[in-house]
Amino acid sequence: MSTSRTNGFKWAGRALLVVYTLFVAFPIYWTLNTAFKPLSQIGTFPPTVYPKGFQLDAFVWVLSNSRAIDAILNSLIIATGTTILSVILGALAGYAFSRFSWVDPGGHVSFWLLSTRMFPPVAVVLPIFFIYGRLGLQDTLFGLMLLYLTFNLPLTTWLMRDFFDKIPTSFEEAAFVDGYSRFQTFRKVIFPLVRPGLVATMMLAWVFAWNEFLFAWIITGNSTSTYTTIIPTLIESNQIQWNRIMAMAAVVATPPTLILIAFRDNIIEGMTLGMTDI
Amino acid sequence: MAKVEIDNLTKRYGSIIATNDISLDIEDGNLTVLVGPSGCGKTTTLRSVAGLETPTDGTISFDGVDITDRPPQERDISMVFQDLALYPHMTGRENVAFPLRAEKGYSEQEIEEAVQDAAEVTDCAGFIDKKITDLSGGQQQRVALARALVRRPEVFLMDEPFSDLDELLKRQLRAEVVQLQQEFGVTMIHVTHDQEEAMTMGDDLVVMNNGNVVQFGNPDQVFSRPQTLFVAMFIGSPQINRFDCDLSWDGDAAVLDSGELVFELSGDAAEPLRAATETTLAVCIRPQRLTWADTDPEDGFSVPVTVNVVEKIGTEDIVRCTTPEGQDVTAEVNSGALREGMEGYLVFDPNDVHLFDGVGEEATRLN
Repeated sequence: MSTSRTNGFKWAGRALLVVYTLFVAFPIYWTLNTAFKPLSQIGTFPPTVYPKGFQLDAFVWVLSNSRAIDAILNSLIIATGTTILSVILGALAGYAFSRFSWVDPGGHVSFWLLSTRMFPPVAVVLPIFFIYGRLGLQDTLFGLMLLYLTFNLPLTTWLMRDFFDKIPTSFEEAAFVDGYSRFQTFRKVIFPLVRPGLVATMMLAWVFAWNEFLFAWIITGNSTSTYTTIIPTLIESNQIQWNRIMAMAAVVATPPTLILIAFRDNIIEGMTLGMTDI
Repeated sequence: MAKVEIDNLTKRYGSIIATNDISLDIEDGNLTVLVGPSGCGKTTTLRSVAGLETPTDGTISFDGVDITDRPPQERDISMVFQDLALYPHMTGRENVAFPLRAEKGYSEQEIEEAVQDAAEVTDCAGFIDKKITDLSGGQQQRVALARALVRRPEVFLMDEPFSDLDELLKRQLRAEVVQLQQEFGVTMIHVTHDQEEAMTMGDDLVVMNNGNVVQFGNPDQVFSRPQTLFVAMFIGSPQINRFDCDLSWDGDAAVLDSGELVFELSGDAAEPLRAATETTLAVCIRPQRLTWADTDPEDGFSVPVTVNVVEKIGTEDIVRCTTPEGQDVTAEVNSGALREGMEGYLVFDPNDVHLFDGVGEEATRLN
């Protein structure tokens, strides 16, 4: 009887997963479905479930329109730059918080760092707009990188600190006793052990910067607009270019997807703090 | 190989005193065991020798050279940690080679040979190429020993490395470590909370409590002449029997009255009691020094008891008894001699009694 019950659970679980998969996959399907349709087929009722008269026009527009391409490149530069900065700084800060208690007695500094994520970002949009105006950082790639760094750093610091905390201090002490300096110990013992966590952290930081809309919309102008700010401009006064919007969405979803596939093992290990075999 | 001298070592963490003005001379080539309950300061002492803790006060020297301010990298030591600290991203072989790679100047072939040597003496050649996570607890232990031995350090430190192993493996590894230590003649400092491990392994024991060294000596001295009541209670298994007695004098004879039992000492045996400063004293007797008698004998001291539990440990039985008023007394007697429920007397020689000036941990030995 117990086996039939176990089987029942197993099948119910699978059914749930199928439903969930459909739920998750549907928007992707609909994005592609819409992107390949001519504009006239969008918004019809009943909707067409596959593109009649398969068209690549929307994709051609995304990949040949200089405004769209520049925006995607800007997003790439900003996301990558801010990720590199926030992961390097976050890893160093996380290591310090994890290993040197005198750095932050009582944990006030690390808490204050985290607290910057406790208010909605929209609360600081206006002050930042004026500050950036005064400092000449509006509409610059660096300005946006710096801004995303502010939001990413607490995340990367806290995540990295957690990964470092998972490594017993005796690992380092054993290396010291064996003659390794702190830096050599970090390189040979600590770094290889936190690498999965580092990759997962990079991924999170990158995706945040890649997808960010609100600040990009406020801070950037013509010369540095990111792809997220291009999409709303496709909503024109007399029509909405759904197929271009969807084509753009499909294109910009590709890099994170590829990264995710490439580092799948590391990311899963990192996200689950999967260092249980230490 | 080096002689390790610890002079007036004090380590404070805020208001907590981990080690209180400790001085020790650890002889070249000896295996010295620091033993005590958790929080007694034994690990702090070891970590200070390793350079992983900076003493608040005091000095540590190897062969007369003051190394107190040197970082661990510049002390010729190796250490086996409680959690072993084997690196999970490396194989056993890479772990063992790791200390050699810290110093430039070893060729690959020299490293290879040293690793092979260390693996053979610690009996881990068969699995040294496996990943650490694929090794059993005992195998990891051997790899950790090999890693510590590979460099032939001056001082070899062990921080309770056997505490997570099962009993059989523990005994086996203890014996092997002692053998290796003797073979290499290395100075070894071993930390444990397990008094049995300390007794079986150590050339010298350092019994610690509350940050102080309470006794330093070889296992025989510590077992047969404990200097404080704490040592008497801590060392020895089964635990020593203790009777708290009020001292009074009847002419030249000292009368020790526990309220239930009365022991009378006269002549030379009573002499040490004249130095007593307390009125209530601890009278202790090792379970191994008790013998059974069916009737109350005329010679020696005796305690009337009922046998409650008989624990078999091989050729001996540990017999847990109680006196009519409920005081527990433990004896170790030949196997099969006693059964549960038997009534009789546990008899001992007054010369085997340990007398302490008071009933607190710090009470000092009188006889």
